[in-house]
Amino acid sequence: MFDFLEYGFNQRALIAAALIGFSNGALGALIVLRKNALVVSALAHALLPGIALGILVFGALNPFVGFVGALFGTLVVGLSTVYVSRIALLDHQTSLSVLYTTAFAAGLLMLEHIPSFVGLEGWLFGNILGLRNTDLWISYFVSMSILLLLFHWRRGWILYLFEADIAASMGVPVRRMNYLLTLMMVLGLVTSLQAVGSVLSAALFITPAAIVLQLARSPRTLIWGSGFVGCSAATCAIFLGNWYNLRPGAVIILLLGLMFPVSLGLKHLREGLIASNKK
Amino acid sequence: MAESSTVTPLPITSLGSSHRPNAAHELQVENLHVHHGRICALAEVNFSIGCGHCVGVLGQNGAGKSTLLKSIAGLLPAVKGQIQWRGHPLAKVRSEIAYLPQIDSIDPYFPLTVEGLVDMGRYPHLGEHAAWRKLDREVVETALDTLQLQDLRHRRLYQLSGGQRQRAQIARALAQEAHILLLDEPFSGLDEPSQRMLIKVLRDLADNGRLLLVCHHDLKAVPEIFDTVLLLNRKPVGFGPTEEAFTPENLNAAFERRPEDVHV
Repeated sequence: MFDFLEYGFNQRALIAAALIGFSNGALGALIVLRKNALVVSALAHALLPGIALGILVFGALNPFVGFVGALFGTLVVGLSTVYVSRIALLDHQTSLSVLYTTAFAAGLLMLEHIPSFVGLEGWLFGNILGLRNTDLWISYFVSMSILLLLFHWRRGWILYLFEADIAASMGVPVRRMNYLLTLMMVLGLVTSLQAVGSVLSAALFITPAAIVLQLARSPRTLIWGSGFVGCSAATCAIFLGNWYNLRPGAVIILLLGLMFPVSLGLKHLREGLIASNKK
Repeated sequence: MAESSTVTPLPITSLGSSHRPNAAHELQVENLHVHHGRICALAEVNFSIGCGHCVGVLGQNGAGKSTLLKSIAGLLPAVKGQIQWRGHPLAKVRSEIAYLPQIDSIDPYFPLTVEGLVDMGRYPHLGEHAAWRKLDREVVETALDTLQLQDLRHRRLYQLSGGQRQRAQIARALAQEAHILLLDEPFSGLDEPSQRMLIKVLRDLADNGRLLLVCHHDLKAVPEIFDTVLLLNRKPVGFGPTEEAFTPENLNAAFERRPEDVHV
């Protein structure tokens, strides 16, 4: 039953799933509290132009080009969004929509000049079984950096997300955190690409937090609970994928999607219990 | 939702003696100028006030009320002038100033209980990682007692009425042990009983030696709430004890047509 774990690629897939599932789940809690759920999906679109640019510059698509290109594309779009919304007095979503669609269109035009794009599918739909040791190290460092940054401002993040003006008046470095959260989002996105692909990557952030938000009464429970949910769903999916021969990336997202109504049900059950206790 | 406990007096003795009015506790604003982008939002603000007062910052929309509060809270940089508290520049005494934004800017569905919100007030004292001490717990308990929030402490914010939310915010400021409370339109959206309870809360805080600066646009209850008023119309047009400064002439100056935008 666990024979498949003798293979290196399955071991790597399992470790990567656990790491990415936890750190992106925990980070997702911040993104959901900042009401940025769609921002992640939009940002994921900046990958295609990034990778296309990488292919044009380096002449071929290999994992290094894919990673650097994806990172570059999302970073440029993500960070310029924060800056543009500040100087143009636009809300975050408007400036992001302008920037990511522009970048995506540029990416499409670039792809026309690339004869064949073998391997692009892996980046769009994920290929967690194809991870090499270097990919695993990258996931490890990205996950650890995200978790360290979360922990470093463990009270500050919560204040910042609750009300930025209150946070700033108490000395929380709000402006720096604005950029930092976008940076973390981009890093998390790029690592989750190889696992679930750009199309589904947003779900790794958003769905765990949406699940835990139904039950959490404090931001801290939400953050670490979302990490735990993301990690468990991702590891379970590797097993299920192997046993039933399914694409693990899609299984992760589907599992999370199925857990959501369960937590919704639990919430209503609990509220019903509280109400009947009061009677 | 109506306030459940509107008339019970607050146990003000629990505030402790360290907040008695004290002459050295003086907020001094000197020649303050604040710009929004290229527009001069506030100019030539000069005033000085000791603690133990509840100051109404009055004026029409766009008069610079919120701008003044945000500037004192350190959220908007001054292009000219300075603000001092007890002879120190504000940046050095940040924890002594609590900023309370309009209640609408707070998301009631944020996963937080009343107690969790009040706990946040300890941040300037504890920072990111320091463990909670017995003192911190006591300060939070006192703040909850003072604003009569003990029964509501485990409620989520969306389960509170507007007045209760406002009290929870004030309790957060007390947990911060702030001397100066900056409140942006705390009365907006409150029903009559909640308004009366909030007036009592603010008066008690001032009588116990806090300094409150309150943005307010409704002129009806001004003499009842504020012992001092500051009338703004892009620049101060009146400042002083309510009975002296809250005059028809000053009100005319404050509520006449807003001055044209001055681009800088």
